[in-house]
Amino acid sequence: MKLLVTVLTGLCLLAQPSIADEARGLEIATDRKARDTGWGDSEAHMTMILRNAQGEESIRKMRFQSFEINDDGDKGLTIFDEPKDVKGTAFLNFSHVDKSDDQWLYLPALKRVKRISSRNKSGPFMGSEFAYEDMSSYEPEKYKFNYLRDEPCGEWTCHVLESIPVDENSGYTKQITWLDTEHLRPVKTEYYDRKDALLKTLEMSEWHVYSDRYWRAAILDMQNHQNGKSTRLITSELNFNIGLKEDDFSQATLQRAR
Amino acid sequence: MMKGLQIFSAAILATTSAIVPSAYAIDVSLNVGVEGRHFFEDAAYSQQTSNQLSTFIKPEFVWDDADNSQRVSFVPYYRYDAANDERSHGDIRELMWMHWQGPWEIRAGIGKVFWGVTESLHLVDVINQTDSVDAADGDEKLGQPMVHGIWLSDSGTFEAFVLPGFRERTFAGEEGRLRAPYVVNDDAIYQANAEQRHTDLALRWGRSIELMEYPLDLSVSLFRGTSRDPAYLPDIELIGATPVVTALTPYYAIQNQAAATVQYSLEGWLLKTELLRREYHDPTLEDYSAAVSGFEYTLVGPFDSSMDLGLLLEYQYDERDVSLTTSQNDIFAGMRFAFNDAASSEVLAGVTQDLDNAGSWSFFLEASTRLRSNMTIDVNAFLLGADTQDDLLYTLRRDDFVEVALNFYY
Repeated sequence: MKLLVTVLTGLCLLAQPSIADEARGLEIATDRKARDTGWGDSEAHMTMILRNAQGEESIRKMRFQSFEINDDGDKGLTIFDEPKDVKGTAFLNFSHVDKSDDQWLYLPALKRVKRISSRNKSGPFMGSEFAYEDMSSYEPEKYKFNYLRDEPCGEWTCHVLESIPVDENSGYTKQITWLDTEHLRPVKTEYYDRKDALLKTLEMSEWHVYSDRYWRAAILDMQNHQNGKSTRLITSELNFNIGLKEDDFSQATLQRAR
Repeated sequence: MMKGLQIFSAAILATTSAIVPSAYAIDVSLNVGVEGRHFFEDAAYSQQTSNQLSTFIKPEFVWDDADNSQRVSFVPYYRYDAANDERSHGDIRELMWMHWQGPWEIRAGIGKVFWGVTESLHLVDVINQTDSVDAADGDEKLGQPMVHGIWLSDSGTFEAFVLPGFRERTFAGEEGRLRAPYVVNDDAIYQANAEQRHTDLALRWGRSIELMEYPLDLSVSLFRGTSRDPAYLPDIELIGATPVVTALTPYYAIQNQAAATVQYSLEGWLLKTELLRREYHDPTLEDYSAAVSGFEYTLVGPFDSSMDLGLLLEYQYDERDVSLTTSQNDIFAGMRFAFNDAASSEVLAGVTQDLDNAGSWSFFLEASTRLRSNMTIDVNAFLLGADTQDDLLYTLRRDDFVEVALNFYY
């Protein structure tokens, strides 16, 4: 066993990055998650602006409710308000740390709750440049980490962290995230596709702090470098502890989501 | 029907003013549509038309009282069809009061409930009557009066339904396409003494568990009451000295039904099965079992695109013979394209082939996309083949059609 550890350590030292960088990466990721626990439940009112390569825009409006789960991924419920033809459509997501998320879609015209194939995590969310997996809750267990370096990022200094998804159904080979050293806010993330080419860049801005602890960005800009499309996600209103219960996030109650 | 609408409207006004307290939010939205249908072949029966233009209106009023966990919704519906009087009809799709508290939820009024997992056939879905004149695919349903209780527990979701009042199936009139050679008349007969006022009962249990680390969704349901699927009795008149069938009378018997659904989600696969056992209280009607089972496999981003491509295959079995069902031994194969574009474009197309009769098949295509932020277009097509007279599809053999619908949302 001791020999094996020695050999493995030797191999890791030979390979880049070193084991020290992995440990530092995991430490930062775990710290980031720890700072964002205890928020309970929340509801956000959001507008999504989809922009194609020609600059034509289309608008989505939705509300996003989330419920914190301590020993697993969070539960999320998205209710669509616009476009009007999808009004009342609701998307229920149970994030998991060690397996694929559970996902359901409620179609109000048919009164039908449909389970969505759990492999569909890399697909676009509502035609936007956000993938389903980008909307899922942040769980360090979903990645392997490498700490790369510290460098200036705008007005702050950032840790630059490489995250490699564990799930083979992820649309990414890696993500590079810039986290400000003071609050560990992910100000910028680069997404690399399965061919390891730069696919998208997410920039998060207009940060607000809630309950003196929880930092949330009001504006998320996702730029797709390969198709020229972009999506801006604006949070116009965000409230914590609005009294949601875990029962409000179930297949049965999905039918009364509004 | 319009008189019924007026009575219901008066009832909703009375109900809502009684229930809805002062602090509530009202949400009003409106869906209107125009639809044109073209039938490719000459009609099989005289008086039927080749082109059909129709329009519908479906407003929705919702009174939300989030503080007291209750809501009232009202969705009236009216369709006008220029070519088919029987298709011009109104309905209360929904007039529902609902209240929830912890794991309990109660709903009372008129509404719709969907049961099922498969795509090509909805075997176990029994609560609502099909508005068959409204949409050819059978997905449009008439509002059903009900009291519906829901209890969420660690052992699953339990639901109970009390269904006072029965809705008769809608049928095309003499001028309408997509009908049998004989018109179905409006004077239905019932096995139940209380006829349309017979109270039906239903129970359902549903639960998601894990099997080898993948989710397994199960449900079992029981229904006792008036069958939503009528039998048809011929109306016979003597013309001269010869007895002639002039029309069909729908006969609604009492049935017991037990049903189950199973859905297993395995990576990109959704494996789906619906099972049904139906027993009639009238011994002249044949009890039967039926099943539909298959899968949907989703390819994410095939051909370097951002679309999802679903491949569907389902097998349909029904114990009855072809004089009573079209699904006795059939296979359905289909494809679902979800383009994941800003216009939410989707195409679903599939073919059902009878395995006992090569000449009996049907094909459908449903395509939709968004043209403007408040306007969508649907293009639907339905084709079939039936070359033997004992095939139920034979009566529709000249009813291949394409339908274009524009929907507006406010």
